[in-house]
Amino acid sequence: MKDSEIKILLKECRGPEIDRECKEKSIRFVTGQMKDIRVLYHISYWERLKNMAGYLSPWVWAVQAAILMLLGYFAVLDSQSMLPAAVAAVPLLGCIGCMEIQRGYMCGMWEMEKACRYDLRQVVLLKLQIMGGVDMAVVVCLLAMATGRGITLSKAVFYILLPYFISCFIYFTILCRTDRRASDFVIVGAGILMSAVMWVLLNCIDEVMWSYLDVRMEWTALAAIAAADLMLLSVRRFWKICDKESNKVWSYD
Amino acid sequence: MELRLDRLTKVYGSKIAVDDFSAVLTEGVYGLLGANGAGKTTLMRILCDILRPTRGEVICDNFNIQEMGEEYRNLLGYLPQDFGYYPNFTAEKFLLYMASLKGLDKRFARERSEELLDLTGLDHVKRKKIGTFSGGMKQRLGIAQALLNNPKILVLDEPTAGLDPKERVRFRNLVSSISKNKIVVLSTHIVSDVEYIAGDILIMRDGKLIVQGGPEEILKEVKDFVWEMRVPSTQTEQFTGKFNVANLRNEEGMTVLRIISEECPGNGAVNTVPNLEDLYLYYFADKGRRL
Repeated sequence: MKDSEIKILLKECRGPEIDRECKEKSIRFVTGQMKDIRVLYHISYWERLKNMAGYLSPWVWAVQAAILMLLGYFAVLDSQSMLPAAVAAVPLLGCIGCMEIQRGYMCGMWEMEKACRYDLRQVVLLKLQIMGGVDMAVVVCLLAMATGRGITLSKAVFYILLPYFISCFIYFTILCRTDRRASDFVIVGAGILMSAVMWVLLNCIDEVMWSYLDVRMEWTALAAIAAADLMLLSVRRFWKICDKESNKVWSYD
Repeated sequence: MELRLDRLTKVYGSKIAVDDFSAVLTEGVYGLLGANGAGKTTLMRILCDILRPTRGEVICDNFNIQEMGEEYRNLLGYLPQDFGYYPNFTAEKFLLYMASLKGLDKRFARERSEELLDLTGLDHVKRKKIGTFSGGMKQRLGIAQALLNNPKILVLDEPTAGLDPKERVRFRNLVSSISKNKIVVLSTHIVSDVEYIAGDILIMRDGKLIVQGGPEEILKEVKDFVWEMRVPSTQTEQFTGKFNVANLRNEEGMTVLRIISEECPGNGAVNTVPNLEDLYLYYFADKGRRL
């Protein structure tokens, strides 16, 4: 039989009338079968990022906003105090992110997160991206404010960008060394120490560096790039070990 | 669906937590019994791909679970022994968060959360913070999150630890009602948790699987080793120091002892029908006590 003849036959063919009982039986059968079908919904990365941002602690956003507003206040009304305030606040930015990232470990959620479809590693990566992005946005705003108030870019990079990268490197190194179990006090303590060191640098060697030595933009840029590399290395190392089992025996008889 | 545990071994330094453990699990409720430190939690974590075994593998329908990755975790529901939570989360928010990690569609996640909060009796507290919950409520929330993705494999690690008897019964009934067409592995050291609901019991000691079978089948192991005898109250201490005594009750000035022993403990001892607790005590007798 030719294809065209088959097509004509198929067109003329009429299926049996579907009665109501048969239709309902078919729907029940299909519904039952569908319950067993496991569909892996595809959720876009952007949507997962948005979802995760919604579940971060509210205080994270509040503290970031408070730092930005406070420094904005100094930039607008009291530009003399802007740089000292920025020097004190910037090392604490990374604190907030690190504490939020390790919250899962401290609260004992890591085990359940690890057993999910989008597992612990992906959770940590999302948090790193969100917190890192927000921190960088705040740092860029601070740089803009500082340079807008007449502070040289070289100085702004040295006192704002460089300490941010170095402090993040220190925090992630602490998290790696303590097997993700560093108390929040340790992280905050490290942040306060960093702020104090930068404050001392500002007060003691600022004049030496920018008046006598005339530190150039190229040097501070190089230093910032090196610090950024260190930070990214420590973040990468943390992310690689974030779901690794601890070499501890879970329970003894 | 079939889950095959093939010669699983997990070593931490000099400590062997799981030792050459092999079993085949199909649909049904499996009770994993063992004392503290037997290796149950380590085994549960290997089953959930949270820990990698030192040797051996877990095969799900002919595929290694490590190679399956996301696909395997999509089939899995897990309630850990130490159940953590973000304290500022409400019950509802917690379930929606876990649903997002399990990759569930938002609308479906909302409906499913409502359904599970209702099933676990937490509907009236869904907007309260988890930090305010009692132990039983937290455990129920834990089982709810484990069921979000309608898992084919449900792993519950000591789910009734810290619960009062009423909560334990409630939990047991809940597990029974949701266990149809699933592989449910329930680890515990409380015999009554599994006695009534498990189709198969696996007993674990020092990381090894020592016994596996249905309750009636494994009770045959101790059929002739459970004795009851009446002794004068003055002699009770003598027997409790020498034998593995499962129960002791005073009756009309005498003490009725239930003893687990391979040999007859004394004159007047009579064999009695064993239960799962006797079996447990037989395998986990105190060191130095005669069996």
